[in-house]
Amino acid sequence: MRQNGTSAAKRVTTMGLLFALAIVLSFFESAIMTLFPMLPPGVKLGLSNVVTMYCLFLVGKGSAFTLVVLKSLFAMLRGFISGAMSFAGGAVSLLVMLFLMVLTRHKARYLALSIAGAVAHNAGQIVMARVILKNRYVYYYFPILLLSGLVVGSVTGMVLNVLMPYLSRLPTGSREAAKSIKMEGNNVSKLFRKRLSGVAVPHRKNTKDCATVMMPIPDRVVIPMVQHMGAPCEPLVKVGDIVKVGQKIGDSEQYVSAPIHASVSGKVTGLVEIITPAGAKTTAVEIEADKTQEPDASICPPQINSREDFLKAVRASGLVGLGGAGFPTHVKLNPKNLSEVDTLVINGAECEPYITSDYRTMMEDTEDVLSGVRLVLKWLGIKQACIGIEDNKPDAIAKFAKAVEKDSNIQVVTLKSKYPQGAEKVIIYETTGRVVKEGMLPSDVGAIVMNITSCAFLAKYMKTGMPLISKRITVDGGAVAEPKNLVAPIGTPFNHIIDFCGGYKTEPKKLLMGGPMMGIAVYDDSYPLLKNNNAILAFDQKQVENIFDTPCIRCGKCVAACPFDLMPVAIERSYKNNDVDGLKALKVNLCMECGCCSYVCPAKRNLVLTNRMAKALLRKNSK
Amino acid sequence: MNNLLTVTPSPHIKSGNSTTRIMLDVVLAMVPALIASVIIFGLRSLLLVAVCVVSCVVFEYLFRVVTKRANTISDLSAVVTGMLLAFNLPVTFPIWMAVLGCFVAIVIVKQLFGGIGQNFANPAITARIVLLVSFAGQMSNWLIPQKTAGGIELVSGATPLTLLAEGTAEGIPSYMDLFLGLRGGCLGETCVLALLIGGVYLVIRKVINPIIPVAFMGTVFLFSWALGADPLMQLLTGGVVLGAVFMATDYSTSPVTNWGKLIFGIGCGLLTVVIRQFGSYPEGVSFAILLMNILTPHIDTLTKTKPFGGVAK
Ligand code: SF4
Ligand code: SF4
Repeated sequence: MRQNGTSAAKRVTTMGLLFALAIVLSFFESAIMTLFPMLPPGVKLGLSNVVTMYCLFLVGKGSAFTLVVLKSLFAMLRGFISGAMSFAGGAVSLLVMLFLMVLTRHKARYLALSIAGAVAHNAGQIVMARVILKNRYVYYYFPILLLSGLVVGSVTGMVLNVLMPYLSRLPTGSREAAKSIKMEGNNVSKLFRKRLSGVAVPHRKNTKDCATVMMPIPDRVVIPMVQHMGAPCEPLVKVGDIVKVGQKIGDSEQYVSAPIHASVSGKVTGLVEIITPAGAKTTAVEIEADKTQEPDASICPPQINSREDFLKAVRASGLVGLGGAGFPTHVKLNPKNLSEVDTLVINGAECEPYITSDYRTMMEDTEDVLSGVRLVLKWLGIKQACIGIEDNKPDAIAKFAKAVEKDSNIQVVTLKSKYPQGAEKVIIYETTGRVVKEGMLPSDVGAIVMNITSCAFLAKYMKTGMPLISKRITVDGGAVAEPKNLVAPIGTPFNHIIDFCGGYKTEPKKLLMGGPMMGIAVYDDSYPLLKNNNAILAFDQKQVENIFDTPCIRCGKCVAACPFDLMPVAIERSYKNNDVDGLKALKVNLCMECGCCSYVCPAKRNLVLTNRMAKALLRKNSK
Repeated sequence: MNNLLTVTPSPHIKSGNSTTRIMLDVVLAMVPALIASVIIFGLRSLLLVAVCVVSCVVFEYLFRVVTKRANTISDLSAVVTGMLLAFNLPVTFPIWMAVLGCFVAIVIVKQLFGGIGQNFANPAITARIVLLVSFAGQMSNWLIPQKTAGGIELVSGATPLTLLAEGTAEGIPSYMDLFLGLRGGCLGETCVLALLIGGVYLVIRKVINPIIPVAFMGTVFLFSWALGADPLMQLLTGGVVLGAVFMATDYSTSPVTNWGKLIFGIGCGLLTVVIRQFGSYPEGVSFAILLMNILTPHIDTLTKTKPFGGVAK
């Protein structure tokens, strides 16, 4: 909203320009109208209405309506009749065009729309003239105005047809339009299909230009046995053992799990108990680093001859979803219905504020990302890939668009910068137009989503055989002296990393692992870095928001913000009444806890927490 | 490290919006209409507004203190209620009756139901109706602004709506005068221009969604036209614009979804016209809004959103 200064300012300037243009056109038009003294006073040919149409197609219906109101207030200066006619013409024209767009599911052509709009504009004026002048003879002018509407409408329609492709491509500045693969299952043009809501969070990508630096090996790392979704690993080492870099130190018999490797060489000094971010207790292997970083003897590039080999190698690499979810990748890449999967969606949205680690991966390891993508496509036999990147990273978009010029089956898709574009169901919808319904997995709509950093890692692993032992993260927040992007060994304590970033410049009040929208606040700064961490944010006093909540005022902003069209305000009420059936009907189980609702709530209500508790209540009741 | 870290559930950043900010925007949006009413009806309108605002705030404060609840006057919602109530009174209205109206609005309609967000009916509207029923004479003691060489002169007379209901065409101002507010009526409702400026401000600030006002005014226009009345006259007189922009959009008492808002707006418009054309009162806006307020929970149930990817079970 207000923080999102750039796009709001852009909209205001665009609107200002359009308004000025409309006024110029209407003066021009009044001059022409003196040539037709027989028309009723105030009637216009509809030249300035062209601007409204343009605004509707380019900016949006809200702004178009504002323009109509502004225009008629301006016309009011020349008398009430002019104002009322201008408003009637503009409003009727806009409504007819919107109606047509909805009716034809947005497939109507500019030409048809603008003719309909121009004719409707003149019809609206005539009707208003009838009302005000109380003179039924005004209808005799209708043929003239119909004709002029047809002419003006066709001319504008043709002009728009020529201009729109250029105009609508301007803002992103990307080149992806040069090459486009027809996304199957996406038959509604992207410009016009249902838009998921979301919120314009402030970007705060302060560290965007900070090239990644390697952090020196810390004296000590603590490597928890749970760094993924699924079964915890059993430690394979005991106190006193000497370990090498990349040596497997934890694994599990279970399929949904991922092995864990030593990130430093040195001596195991303890098996300690630690609390996972989710609140469960687990064991962690503490290693004192000898700083030689001697690699384990077993490290060598994997031999891959079949899909089975590939999946085995992915499991052995210890890779989990690096975007934050931490779901084991070998499980994700092996759905039951793999043969139905035709699209690999690569998530480069990075929609959380502050975080730039994926961006740095895209800029610094472009080729690794792409070879990772190609490997997955090849071994899984998937037809095409599309890489979704938010439009606040134009250089990454340009870089990838250029790099995939020769890959006929990889496409770069520009996503609007709107949180949460990077959520799995959202990015599948935005890139392919497919809807992952309740109870479905992405593979059920023929898609698999992988994070951009996961792809880059996969390519490196296949080249070197070095498993996942370090991670690129963004360190930022008001309390950090020198915000940075850095690569640190897994298990490095946060305070170590922050010391490397110049330490705290003021007292930290909140420490987050992950971004501010979905990240987890930790209790103390000795917490170790995990595989699926992509940021550490230390907030100062100013950034720690007042957590004081006030009563809900039923403003409905939470409903409007929810990307999945849930109703947090109603969920909260049902939860308070312990209304299990109501919660089921409200589909609280679909909530992805993205935080949009809590973000916009003017009463600062903790809606995400309520949703989480409501989901727990449903789970309890279904047992 | 020895200080304590704050641990809260996500998200960890929030928008700069707040209840107070929203209410402040509503107050600001009413300022043009307030200025217009001072120009048209003189300083007594300012006095009435001030009295209503102060009494609403005081009543809210006292109620919260007496019932030992956290104080909420800083959210400015009582200021909004006070201004709105004053906007719905004739400029001649006795002060003590206005204070009584504020008591009804704040204590009975708002606080007894649990305070902000909990009331089922709009406090200002309900109070206006209570006053209308109890003090019919004072509530229709109009002053009509007349343009004279020296400015605006106030004389007693009837509002355009009453004149229309009586079927006399004489004394009905021109459209432009109606638009600028030079006519008899409640002190905040007459200047349509100022009200629309406020409305546009609220839409731009994203405080209100334009669906309700547009549906409300559009329905009044079309339906009264269909019934053979002068549609513009119906729109420009009485409290349609004030009601549509400032009162029907009250969050607590209007539906939260877009479809719900559409139904609500159309319902308000239809009822207004029905009451005006067929009822015994010349004005129907407040009754219409009150009736729709009562239907709001049902509209909300009817128009639940369809979650993305949700499967009916
Ligand atoms: S955004 Fe907050 S105040 Fe508004 S309806 Fe939702 S919960 Fe209530
Ligand atoms: S947290 Fe849940 S309810 Fe809130 S906006 Fe996100 S998906 Fe919707």
